[in-house]
Amino acid sequence: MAVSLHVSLLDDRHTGSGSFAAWMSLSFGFHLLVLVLLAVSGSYSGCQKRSFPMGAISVDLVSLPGPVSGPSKPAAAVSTAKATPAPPVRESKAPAYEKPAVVPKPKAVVPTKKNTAPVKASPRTAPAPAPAPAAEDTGDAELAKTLAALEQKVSQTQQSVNISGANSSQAGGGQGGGGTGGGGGRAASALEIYNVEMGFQIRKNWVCPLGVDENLQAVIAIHIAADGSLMDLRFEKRSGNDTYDESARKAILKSVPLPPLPRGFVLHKVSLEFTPKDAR
Amino acid sequence: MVKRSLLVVALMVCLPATLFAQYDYVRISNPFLHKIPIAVPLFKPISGTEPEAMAAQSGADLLAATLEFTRYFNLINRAAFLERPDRTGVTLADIHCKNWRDIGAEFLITGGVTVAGGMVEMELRLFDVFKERMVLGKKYKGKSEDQRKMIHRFCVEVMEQLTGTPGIFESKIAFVSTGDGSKEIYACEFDGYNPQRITRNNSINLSPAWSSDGQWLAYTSYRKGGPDLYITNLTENRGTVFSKEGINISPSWVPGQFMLAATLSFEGDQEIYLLTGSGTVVRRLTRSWGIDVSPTFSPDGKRMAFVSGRAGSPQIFVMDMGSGRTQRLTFEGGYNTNPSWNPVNETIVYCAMTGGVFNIHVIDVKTGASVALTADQGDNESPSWSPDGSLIAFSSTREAGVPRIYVMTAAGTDPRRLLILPGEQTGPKWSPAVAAGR
Amino acid sequence: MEKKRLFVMFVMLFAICGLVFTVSCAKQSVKSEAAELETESSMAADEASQMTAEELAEAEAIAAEKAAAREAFVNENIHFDFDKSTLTPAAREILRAKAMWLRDNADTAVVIEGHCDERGTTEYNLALGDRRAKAAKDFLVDMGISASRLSTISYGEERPLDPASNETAWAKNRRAQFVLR
Repeated sequence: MAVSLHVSLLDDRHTGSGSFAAWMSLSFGFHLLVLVLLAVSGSYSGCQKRSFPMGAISVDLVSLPGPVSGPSKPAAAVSTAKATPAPPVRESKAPAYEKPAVVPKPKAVVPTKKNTAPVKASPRTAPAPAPAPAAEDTGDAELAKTLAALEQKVSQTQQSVNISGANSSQAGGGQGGGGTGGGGGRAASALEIYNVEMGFQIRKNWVCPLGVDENLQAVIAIHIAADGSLMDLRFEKRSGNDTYDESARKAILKSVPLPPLPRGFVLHKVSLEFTPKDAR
Repeated sequence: MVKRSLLVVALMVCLPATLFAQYDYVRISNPFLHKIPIAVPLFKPISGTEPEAMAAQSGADLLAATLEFTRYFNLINRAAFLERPDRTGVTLADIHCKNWRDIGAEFLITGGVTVAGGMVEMELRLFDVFKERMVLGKKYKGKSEDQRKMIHRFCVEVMEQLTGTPGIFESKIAFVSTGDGSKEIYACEFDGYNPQRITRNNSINLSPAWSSDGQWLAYTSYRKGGPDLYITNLTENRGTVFSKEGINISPSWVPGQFMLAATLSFEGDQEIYLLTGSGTVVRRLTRSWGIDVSPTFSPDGKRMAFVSGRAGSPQIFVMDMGSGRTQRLTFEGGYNTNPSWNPVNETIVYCAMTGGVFNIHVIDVKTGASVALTADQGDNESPSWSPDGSLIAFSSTREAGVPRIYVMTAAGTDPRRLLILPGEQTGPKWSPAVAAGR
Repeated sequence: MEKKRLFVMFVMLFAICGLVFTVSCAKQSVKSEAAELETESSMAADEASQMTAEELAEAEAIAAEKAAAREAFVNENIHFDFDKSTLTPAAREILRAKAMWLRDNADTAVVIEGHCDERGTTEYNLALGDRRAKAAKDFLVDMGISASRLSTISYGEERPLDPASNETAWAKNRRAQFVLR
């Protein structure tokens, strides 16, 4: 569309041949820029006010903020991932992006051993870590397992993460302009890891009384600043039970300040869905 | 014009990105924590006299213990507190909510106590330390010995505020105890306090059942030699004896009505009948050869669960009171008895014998799925729901093989012994939210 | 002629009344039977001088046999399998003997008690005890004993014979017991 409009404008102008060449090269360069922008912007959510690097995206987990127990495993995974990213990313530039079938995957997945083959054929389903520990456990071991699972996955980027402790099956995420560009062979993005950590921190602080209807659902959208402080909090969906909604809100407030965002990010927007139901 | 076209193109490229500004979606489920963290500091003695200080201490301790009993709250250790309302003040202006948030509390209760001339006055305030405001403020005045009742009243208000139901604080638990040489019926307060003897006839007394207004108690007694049904008004000490030939046992009141179901065998077989509270038979409810016993009604009184031997072994069945249609509920195990229907939902707690051992199970009436709530802890029998459906009283031989009354959550967690008396305590029955009785 | 008839009527009246009294007196004898046995044997002693030694021995033997039969009736319980109120063959045997005794002692009445072992729940066991007692009663009625002489009561698990918690004790407790009223 942009191209055809461009052409019509050109026709309107009716410049001389010399300036025509200039315009053409300008147009070509501009198109190239646009294509590259589109290819790479798909990896990130929202309109980030920052400059993003081209080429291989690798994450040094050791320098990531927040508790990461078992750093050796993710670090090892990262180093192997470093070798591979170059060719796949280049591949991804050519076709704009793979249009993802962003369909929410069912939450209930039989808890399999961690890091086994994905339950679905789709390359974007993460392997399931071991089932959650008993209630009142802090779940740090889980955190490590989920992070390791993310690191070892060699599928496309995911837009959403399921912090239930039983598995991290896929759930529908955003869609639109940026797809989930890139082929296989990429390490998990810094934001995915961040989402897992942040989600766990909030889950650990969430007090939800027994006997509450397990199908209640409250969704709260928050904006996280670079230092982990909360810039905004509002309800996107209320459950109808005020006490329950408040418990979700308090869980977030108790978790502030959240871990600082990964390097280079200044604002992170997340929708948090609270539901008591055991995702197992 | 060039600039304009450039601008338009630039906008067209950027617009889709801004239009679809993406939020990551994170699902948080299966919470670890279930008990609301609350702080109950010592109450403040207003004039600072000795009796006031004592009442302040006992009041705060009782409030904390009562809230803890519900298993709904996690009482934060006083050693962790960062400020002392009993010194600095008890109103919203006096407290700093951040101090309480920092120790992990979501709520705070402060109290101010005045004692004068045998009378005690308490000002109790509930604060939401996240919203930073007072949610509940009450003043109670009465005789010093009624302090317990005042604290319980306040707890009812707190529960109403936080859960919408009044909770269990004015309920009682009836049970059977052998301490005086024979099986007699007793009743204590919901937390095991102040047990009072109700029957005094040196025979065998069993199966207490509360009416839904908490004023009447039905039970079986061998006072006259055989198992007869006694229907007694607890405050007025009057009632009826239903004494037909055979057994007159396992009474259970119909919710909201002065009617009860009981098992009678005067017509030959052991069947469940409907009676008025004055002891008149209304009609026969079950019609099957074999034992039909232990009725329990759904909260709306329209369905009745009971134990029947019609399938060859004791199993739990559910009958629709209107149509009489009866369906079997339990299919697992060969001995399922003692059903008790949850007062607020569609679950039934019962006693199942497996491998010669008795355990408490809960079953969903709609799906038929059942879960064991006790295991490897002696014999566990006679489960009875609290009036808000959150706790279960039952008898267990887990301590030295002697049956005692315990209370656990509806999920089977956090079991604690209710009280200990001479002899054996069995057959607990939890009253409605408000119960009469000495 | 009329006078004669009246006279006959009066005699009949007295005779009937007399019969009635003798019958009711006989019923009383159930309770005082033990006392009577004593007097019987002491009477036998009194008459010793009049009876032969042989006859004396025979009378004593009969008395002892009666006492033993009565003992057996009261003390021999029938037993049931767990959660069952059906009569086992052994139980039937015992009940047949009891039926015979009841026939021989037509002036007796019995309370049949139904009991259970401590396992199982109170209310269910009260009902089960009721069934057990009634099963025994029905059998005796079938054997020709008048139902009015037999009453039942259930004690469920409330009156165990053996308070221990093992299979032997439980088997002992799952019983129907016979008490003379």
